[in-house]
Amino acid sequence: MEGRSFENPADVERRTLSPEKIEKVLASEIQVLEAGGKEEKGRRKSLGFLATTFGAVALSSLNVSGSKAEGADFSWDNLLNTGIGAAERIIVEQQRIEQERIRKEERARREELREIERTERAKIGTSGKIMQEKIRQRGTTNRERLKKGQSIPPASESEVSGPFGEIKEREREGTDLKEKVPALNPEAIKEAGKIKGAEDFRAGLREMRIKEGDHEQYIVGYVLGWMGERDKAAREKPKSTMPGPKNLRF
Amino acid sequence: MDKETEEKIEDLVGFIESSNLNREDKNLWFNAVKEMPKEAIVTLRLFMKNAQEDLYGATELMKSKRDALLKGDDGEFRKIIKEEEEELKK
Repeated sequence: MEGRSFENPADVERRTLSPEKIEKVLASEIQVLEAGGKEEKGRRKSLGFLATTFGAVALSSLNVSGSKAEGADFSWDNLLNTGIGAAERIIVEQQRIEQERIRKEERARREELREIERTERAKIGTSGKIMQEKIRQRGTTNRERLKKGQSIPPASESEVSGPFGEIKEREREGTDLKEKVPALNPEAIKEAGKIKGAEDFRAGLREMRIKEGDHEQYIVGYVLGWMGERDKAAREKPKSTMPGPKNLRF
Repeated sequence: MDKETEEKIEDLVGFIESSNLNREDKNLWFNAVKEMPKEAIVTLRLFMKNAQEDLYGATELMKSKRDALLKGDDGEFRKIIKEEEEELKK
């Protein structure tokens, strides 16, 4: 895990962390972030800094005065209030970029369609000329030959057989392969993770038990299971210190 | 937990898990996530995705800040954010 144990008595000093101190230092952090949000490069950096503060505050609140300190809640409010402005700017910016991307794609698609149309027209023009030449060589069209009871030259009969038979073969092979190697069901793996995450939370573990080699869907499920159980526990305790500013929009 | 939050958590966890951070650092973020209110998680997801150039550096910075907070050393924390301030001016 993270190198130091949260159960280590040597770490008891961290219990002296005062919410006022957190608040004070975060106020400085917020000033820096607000100052750095103008240009793209600075904005990205400041977002990274804010992300690290979120992580640091979360980890440092793990062992403060039991499960959560009132003051730490206030810090979250503080952080979130700062974060919302930045988040809103990102959302607006992302929407603008997305719209621009869609416009570009539409332009490219229209251009592509025009190109396809041009090519098709050129092809039709060429094949029309070839057909005219064949008719000229034969002297009559197929329709005129049929009317006269003459046979149609084999070379000009339309092909009725396509490549579908072959595709069917391939499809059959694919089916056989699927039957031989059953695919892992990501939902089932995630569900297993959820169950384990919820169990570990209920067991009172402080840190998550995620191992090297665990399937990504298992990890996703584990975190969700843990947090779902955490939320359930918070709902069951109306006086929980779990923070939650009411005016957030996501 | 509502579906939308669940999807955002899934997205954030997937993003961290598929990064090139080592197991220990990934777990550090997961443990941070589990301590956050859901509003902070969705915001963090947005921040990390918009500032993903140096996740390793961000993780190291997070550790420094965490240690300063755990020690209640606001002087150390101030030093870190002073460095951030300098970095933003570059």
